[in-house]
Amino acid sequence: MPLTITEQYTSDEALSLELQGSLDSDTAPQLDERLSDAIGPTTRVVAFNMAGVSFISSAGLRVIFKTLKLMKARKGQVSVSQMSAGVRKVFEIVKLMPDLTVFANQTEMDEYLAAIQRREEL
Amino acid sequence: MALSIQSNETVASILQKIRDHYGAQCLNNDRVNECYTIIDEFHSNIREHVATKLDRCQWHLEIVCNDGIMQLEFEYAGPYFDPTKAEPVSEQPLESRPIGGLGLAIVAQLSDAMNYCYRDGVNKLTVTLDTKSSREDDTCH
Repeated sequence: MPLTITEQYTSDEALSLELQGSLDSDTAPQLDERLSDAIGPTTRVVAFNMAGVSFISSAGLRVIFKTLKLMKARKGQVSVSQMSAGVRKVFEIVKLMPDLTVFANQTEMDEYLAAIQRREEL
Repeated sequence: MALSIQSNETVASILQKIRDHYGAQCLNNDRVNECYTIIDEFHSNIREHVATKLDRCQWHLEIVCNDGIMQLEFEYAGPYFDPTKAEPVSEQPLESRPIGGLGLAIVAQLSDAMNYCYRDGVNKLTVTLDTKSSREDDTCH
């Protein structure tokens, strides 16, 4: 299953991506490359809408993990929304859930990103 | 009959091959995506740790579906490697944890049973998933 990555929102501080497909050992490098291009020196929040992710393996997790480590080092965070039960289970197995900001739906995540945008505009 | 998978095949092509061969009767269940995660972990381990030392490398997969029990039987020729001896996931804070080494722990936790044997130079791993049991409410430790 291919991976489609759609950039939903980008600002100096935040980046939001919608993922569709599988995050596996073939597609994970594609996400890694996209993040390397999109994350700027001032990015502190990376948000993933995972509603369309059918399954994830350790290769995909490594990319999320790497992003999480980078954001934590910048006192920022990684947010995820709309994970399926199966994808969530894999995150739970590797004990990443406590370090993620989890939103139940895209509306909550949008509100959160809008708040960041308002703060940036001040 | 087992499917033969080349180490250089893409994950998408492997999963399509599996769907074509086994069909909805075997794969239409709540745990099929866990099954795909396990297959990707196995395939990427073969690519990273076995195929790099050989000119040509293939592995075999047979899926047996019976009364809600799905068994994934993986086989490949190569040095002894027992994937059931997975290191547990680190309890360290995120900042001090290594990024890799999570694949075997994921397979172990997603499966209901794992059996490994090594005979005549062939590694055989059987991973069992009970598709009748819902795992959604499981607590992971």
